Amino acid sequence: MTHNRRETEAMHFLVMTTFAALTSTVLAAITNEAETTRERCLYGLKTFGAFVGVGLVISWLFYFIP
Amino acid sequence: MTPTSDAPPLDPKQPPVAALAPVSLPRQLVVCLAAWLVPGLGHGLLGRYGRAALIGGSIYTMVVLGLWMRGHLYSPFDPNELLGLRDVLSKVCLIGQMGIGVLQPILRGLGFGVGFEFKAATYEYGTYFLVVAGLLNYLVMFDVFDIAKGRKA
Repeated sequence: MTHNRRETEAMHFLVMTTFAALTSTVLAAITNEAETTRERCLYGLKTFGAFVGVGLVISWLFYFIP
Repeated sequence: MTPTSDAPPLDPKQPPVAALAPVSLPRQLVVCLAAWLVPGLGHGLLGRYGRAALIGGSIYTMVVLGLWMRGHLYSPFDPNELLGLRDVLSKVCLIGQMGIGVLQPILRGLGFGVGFEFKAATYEYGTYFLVVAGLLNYLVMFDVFDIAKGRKA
């Protein structure tokens, strides 16, 4: 089965966000920086955003590297 | 006087001292071992059921997705993979994947993740999902140790 470029990009992004969501869930559950459930949720969301944001920035940097 | 790390917290946001009660040394070892062998079990044994469910659910989901994406499980019982100096990076992956606990050799024994499916587009993703699942469980073990020592609620 072949995929066109857009489908491949969507698949990569889906895998990256799934990875970010699962990893940030565990990190939020074990962090020392949060005590209450609300703080843990905020920490998890921040970590998730950082994973996705840094992933996108790095992918754009790699775009310019031949 | 400088407070020690075992002193009760003065910050009102900190949990009460009762929540930070340490458990005995043999029980600390048991819960850490349980946390390694079965992700989430260590928190469950310490009564942190919500965290246990989140951690176990996330790590097992990563393992299932890793295998579904045709990732490779390195064998902890293969002397060539364990002791050989030929492919150092695979040792790093093996050490990471061993963090999954008892599930890793069981899955491997059942024939999951045995082949190297380099041609699959998601092979690298799958393998690193499996590695990171194990590495996260090592962090979880440290968290369980902290809770068991009474350093954390």
